Amino acid sequence: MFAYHLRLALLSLRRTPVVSLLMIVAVGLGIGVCMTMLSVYALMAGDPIPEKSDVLYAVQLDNWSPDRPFGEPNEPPRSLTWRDSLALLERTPAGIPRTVTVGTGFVVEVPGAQDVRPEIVTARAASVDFFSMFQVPFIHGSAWSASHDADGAPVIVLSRALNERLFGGEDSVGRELRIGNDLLRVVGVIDHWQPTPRFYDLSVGAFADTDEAFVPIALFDRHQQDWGGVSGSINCWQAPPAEGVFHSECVFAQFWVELPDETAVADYRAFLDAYVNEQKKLGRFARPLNNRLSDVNTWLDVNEVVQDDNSVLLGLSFMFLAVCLLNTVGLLLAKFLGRAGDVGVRRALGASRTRVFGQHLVEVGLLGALGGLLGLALAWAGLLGVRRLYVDYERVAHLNAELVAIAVGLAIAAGLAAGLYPAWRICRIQPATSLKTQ
Amino acid sequence: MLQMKGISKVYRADVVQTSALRDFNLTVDEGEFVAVTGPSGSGKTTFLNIAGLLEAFDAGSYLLDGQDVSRLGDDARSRIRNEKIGFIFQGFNLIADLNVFDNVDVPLRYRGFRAAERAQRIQRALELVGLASRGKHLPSQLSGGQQQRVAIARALAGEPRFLLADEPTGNLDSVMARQVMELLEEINGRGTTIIMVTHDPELARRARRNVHMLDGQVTDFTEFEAAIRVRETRAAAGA
Amino acid sequence: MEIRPILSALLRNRTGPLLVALQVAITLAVLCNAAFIVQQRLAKMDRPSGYDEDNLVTLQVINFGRLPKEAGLAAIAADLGALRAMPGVVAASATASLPMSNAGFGWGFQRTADANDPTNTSASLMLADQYGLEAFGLQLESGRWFTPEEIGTAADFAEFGATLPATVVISRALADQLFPDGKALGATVYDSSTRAPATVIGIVERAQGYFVNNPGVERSAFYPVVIASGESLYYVIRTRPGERAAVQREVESALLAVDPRRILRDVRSFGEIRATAYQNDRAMTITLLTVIALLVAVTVLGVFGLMSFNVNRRRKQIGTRRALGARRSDVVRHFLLEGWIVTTAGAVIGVALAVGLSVWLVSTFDLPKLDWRYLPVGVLALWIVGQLAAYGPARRAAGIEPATATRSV
Repeated sequence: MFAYHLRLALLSLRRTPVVSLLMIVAVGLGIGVCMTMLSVYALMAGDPIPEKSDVLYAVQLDNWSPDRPFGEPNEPPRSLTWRDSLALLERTPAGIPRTVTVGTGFVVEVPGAQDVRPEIVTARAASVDFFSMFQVPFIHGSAWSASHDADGAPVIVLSRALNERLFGGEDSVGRELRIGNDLLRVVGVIDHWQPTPRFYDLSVGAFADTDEAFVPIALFDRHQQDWGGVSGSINCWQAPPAEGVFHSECVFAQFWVELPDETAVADYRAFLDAYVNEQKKLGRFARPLNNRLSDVNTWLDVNEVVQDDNSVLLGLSFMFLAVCLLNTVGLLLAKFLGRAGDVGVRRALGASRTRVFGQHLVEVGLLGALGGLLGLALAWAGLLGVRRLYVDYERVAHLNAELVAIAVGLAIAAGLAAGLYPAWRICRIQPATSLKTQ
Repeated sequence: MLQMKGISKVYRADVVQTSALRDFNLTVDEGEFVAVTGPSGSGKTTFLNIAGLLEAFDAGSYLLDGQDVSRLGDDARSRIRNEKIGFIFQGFNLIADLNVFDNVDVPLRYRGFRAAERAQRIQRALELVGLASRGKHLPSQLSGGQQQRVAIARALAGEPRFLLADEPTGNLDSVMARQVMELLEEINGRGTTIIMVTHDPELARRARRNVHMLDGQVTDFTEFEAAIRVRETRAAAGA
Repeated sequence: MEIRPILSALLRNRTGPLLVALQVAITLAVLCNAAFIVQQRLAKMDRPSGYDEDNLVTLQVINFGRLPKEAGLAAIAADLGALRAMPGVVAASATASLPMSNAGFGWGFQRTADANDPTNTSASLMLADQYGLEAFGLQLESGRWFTPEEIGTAADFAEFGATLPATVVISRALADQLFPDGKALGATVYDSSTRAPATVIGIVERAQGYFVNNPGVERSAFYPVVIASGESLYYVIRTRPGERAAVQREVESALLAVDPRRILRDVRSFGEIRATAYQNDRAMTITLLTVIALLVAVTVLGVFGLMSFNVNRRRKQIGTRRALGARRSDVVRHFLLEGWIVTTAGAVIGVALAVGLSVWLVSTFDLPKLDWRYLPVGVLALWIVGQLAAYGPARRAAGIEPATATRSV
């Protein structure tokens, strides 16, 4: 029966091309606009590391001014001081993966290579658990050994893209790079890795590129004066001392721990409280205890990664879809009821209500599917537009399989929403009416 | 074959109530050709709609082919229409978007026959009405008489037990009307029961039995068959 | 005219008109709110920055490694000299960050040295040398700019934080915030973390700060300091009108001629900085305008479809009216009126919906409350497009022959 209904639907489409086209365009526009907004929204609101997002926790400590909170009403700063980061790195109980990380940048040169221009790279200082906690994939070599976090050995991990620019993509493990007056040895090259949003450090934008190079924190700490320093936001509630921000109450470092369950979270909270209480005795942390542990998705919320504009646009685009669907319902109703005579005949010839309903649902489904296809094409074009409008979304605003599936689902839901009522109306047609008219 | 007892049907508009059938009784036997006549508004069409299970009624009982169809749901009624009843309408009621073949196909589709069986039946029905070569034509490419023959083929294709015809020649000129009547008589001759509503006394006389309706009730039976038989007997006796 | 019979005809077949009315309602709600947001963004993007934007070129200098204080200052002086020597350049200045660039120092100022001074006000802090006024093209409203002798030097940011200068130039907006009494010039303000004092020696009419999305963007202050380390070094170059593009093309080679061993980054006109700063607002505006246009188009189609359907369904009735003496214009009027009734019904629901949507936007996203004047304008706009959409079918109805009444189908 489905094949028969499909044939009838195609016939109906051909018989009334203008109205059918209007309906397809209406559904397509609605879905296209909705999908565009939804894609942007979904990618912003997406889980960047779904396998581990509920066990990775960002740490916040409230070392802010006794006079006022970092943010109203009583928000602690969104990053840590350097000294607290190093202290937590060292004192976090054994067995708990932890990492401190901060953005930086420096100029790298390949010693002896004439054809490779020195270039400035966005880099990241991190402690070694960074790679395993955040599931960073390696193509060559590996992370540095744990001892380098503290001894400041001159080692570096490169991104795939940087390795291609500097070494033509070959296995560069063991090669050397010059940064300032130091020679650093390459120990690993990571594969393409782009968590979106870039949850592990949101301070320079949630959709920034991942870093091009990684160095151990002790090495970075030693070169805070002569390399590029911190890139990202440095927030201070009092002027830093003459020794610089690394010795101040200024915050700029991200600290993450991996905690497998509720008990571990509770234990770690207690650990943080104990640390802050101890620091209070030393005259720091004048504010009341206000430590926070946020898992990845909570952290994205705290940092307002999804912009209000995108939520507003998503809301408005659903209203737009509603208008398109109301439009389609009206057109379908007119079209179906205009065919009441034929339906009366079919009913007289033995088509049950269910059959008539089914026939029209298939037609509606066909329109929905075509509208969905158009919508998908429009969403693709829409995202092209979004990428032009927002430089930051260059990478985010793309269609992926999941979004295509959502589009198809949305199209079917939309088609059904628009088609159920007209199909129901038409299947209520009494078979007798055709005998009376004509 | 068909037995209606005390059927009544009332139409309710916003304020007015119209009685279309009042205590209507009629029995039709297998193989009969019954013409229902009566003036406009006498309830002919309502009778036909109820007989064809197109419309429900308010009171009374209706046995069709031995089955009580008074309380059936929509699906069951649809199936009986599809399998046991063939309809022929005054306005032909072909589906304009479908060609002749597909029009005849409509009831067979709902019957659930396989493709080969459908094609065979359609071919046979179209041959019967003399339009076997017109399968690809759209209704708009046919004359009125041809269209009505397609409609008859559509009614016959499912081999129903009886045919309901509503002014089958009403929209046709006299030549075509005669052809259609002859076709119906031929069909009846093969054993299919036919009930035909008409206001044309000429046509009605060609049926074997006449039922005259007035104000929703049967007022008069004319048993042509009996009359003819008497004549035939007399003729035989006289000879 | 004949509103009552039209209304009762609409009510008898109410599903179609109701659907169109709902479309009109949602369209009005979205239209008013979206147009209001667009207007706000346009106004925001239209704010003057206080800089001579048309004639500015900026760039960032990144040294390979860090320079000692004296060498750093000498390098900057050499660069600025080379820049000034370029044809078409009016002035050049060194600074540590660029206004409207979404990166820079947020600083607190207050009127007293007290720890809990309620006058504590945040502002964008910019570092400038004696050429800053001319290089940025700022308008000095009162007082004076820094003299060469006032320009302090610091090896790096740490040293700068420890030795804040004694003079400051502030923007009018910051002056008004700190000194509502209007006595800012010559007054002393305090840095709210170290509580170091500085005398306000000048007030510029306007100098937007770093963060254009921050409501305090108009509040800014200039300290007379040059940082030698090159940790964060930008040059601002003001050109003669019409010569910006040429300078922008030549500036890299001019600087690399001074010293090739460094990286020059982001050579940009101020227009590019502005475009980046407002890209979200611009994108929002364009997106909303697109949605509005599509929405109105779909709604016009809806009204058009309904009216066409009604005309087709009533061909015979219209023919009968014509046979009974209705003029073509009467028929047109009839259908225009019908369209108007549907649009108006939608508009009535739409006004309520628009207010509801506004309440949601205000409560969820902290957007400003919808200006009520958008409602009548929106209704008027929908009336007009509604009538335009109904006009075609109405004309077609008027073309129906009176003889249609006597034909059978």
